[in-house]
Amino acid sequence: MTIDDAAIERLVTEAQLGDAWAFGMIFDHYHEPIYRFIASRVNRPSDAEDLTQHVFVKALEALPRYESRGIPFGGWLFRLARNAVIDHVRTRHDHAELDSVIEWTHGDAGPDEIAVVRQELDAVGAALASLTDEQREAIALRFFAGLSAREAAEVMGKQEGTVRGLQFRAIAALRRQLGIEPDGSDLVELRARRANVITDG
Amino acid sequence: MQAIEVRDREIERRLDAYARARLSPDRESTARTRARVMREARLRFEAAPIVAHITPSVAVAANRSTMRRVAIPFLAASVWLGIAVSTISAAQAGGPLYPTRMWIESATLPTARAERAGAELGRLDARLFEATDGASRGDVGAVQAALDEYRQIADEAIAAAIGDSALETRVAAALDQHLSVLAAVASSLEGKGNDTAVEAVEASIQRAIARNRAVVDRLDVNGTGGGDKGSPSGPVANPGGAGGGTGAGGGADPSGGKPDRTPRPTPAPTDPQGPPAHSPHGQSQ
Repeated sequence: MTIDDAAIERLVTEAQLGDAWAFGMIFDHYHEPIYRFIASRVNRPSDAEDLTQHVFVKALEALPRYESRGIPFGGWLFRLARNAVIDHVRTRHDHAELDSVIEWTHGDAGPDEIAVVRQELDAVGAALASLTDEQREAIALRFFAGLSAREAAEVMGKQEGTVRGLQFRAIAALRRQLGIEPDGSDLVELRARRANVITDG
Repeated sequence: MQAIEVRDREIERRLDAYARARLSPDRESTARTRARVMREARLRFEAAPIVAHITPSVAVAANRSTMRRVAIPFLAASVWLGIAVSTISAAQAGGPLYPTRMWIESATLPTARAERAGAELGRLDARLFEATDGASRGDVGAVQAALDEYRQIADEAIAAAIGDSALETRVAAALDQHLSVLAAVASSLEGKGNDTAVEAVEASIQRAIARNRAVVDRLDVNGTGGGDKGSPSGPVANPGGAGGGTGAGGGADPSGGKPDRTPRPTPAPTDPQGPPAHSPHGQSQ
């Protein structure tokens, strides 16, 4: 389901006036991305569920004071989620690990297929764990929560260009970790490097 | 830039698969969280006018002498409580204090899952009784108010039962039994009072009947197997919206009867470097 920003702002206004239905729509729209972002930053699915609920209850409390002022509601909500995760990690001395324990596979997948899928997912989890905290956060906001670079920058309190840089370096690191073959542009770069080495030699 | 976009597709695919498999909430978790958050929302939204009403009185009282400051609010609170309790207990469906009564009922529900579901079923029976009673008196407003609450409580009961096959069976059986009562209420309204209002209530009853049937059918089809996690890529759980047809992932949507207010979706513009399919804002950078 995709709802544009104007519709979200309308729902927010209605929720501020005490319309529970509007708040329900807001919940339905943001629940999964918020959960994904939180789940990518905490250890246990139960913590992700509790924190997600906490974020929406916090949003409910703070809703009367929310004013758009150029910051989209989604950015505001994700800031609440980010703060909740930071508090959680700080108070519980929890380390943000991406290797969550829940896992679903399609019912019709055979054992071999499941093993392959699990292996691939484990590899992605390990590769993500090798990133820096900021790179991982940028990946979580951009790819798991589905935010734009601008929105992710607002949530992280950084410049959009900085977030793009973090994302670029994170993806490069992931490619290396996962052994994804470089494409044409990288080959050109490699050839150029090799030519330099030969010339220098 | 184009090369980077092409190159990143494989990474995007793997991250997306990872997110779907290991970071997405299951439908039980979604239903649980939604039910808790919406309960909180309703409590807050319904309590706000009461708080706003009481706060000025408390502020005035604070400026008086100690004796009066202690005695008057206590007296006022006692009188208010006495009036409120007697009035609320006597509040009929459709009356001005009916929502307050529903709020108090909701706030005093047990927290344990099975007990809560049982209490919700009791509340459903009470609402049906009120609807029947209203219909027999020709009070269309009372029937409408009771049915509105009925739909909301049904949503909560379904959300509370999800994942527990025994509870799901109980809820489905109760909703199934209610079908005939709802049909009787609809027939007893014929020829009573204002045609427009009666039509509205009949439409409301038909919606409740359709929703009950859908829930009963769904639980029958699933073999009351609430533990089915389904595909991680599938839609978000929709415990209360089985028959609603809003397409908005309504879950235990408290409104039930507000399909026309669903915001119109707009197609997400292409964002080649942006995240994969799941974009809550649907906007490019």
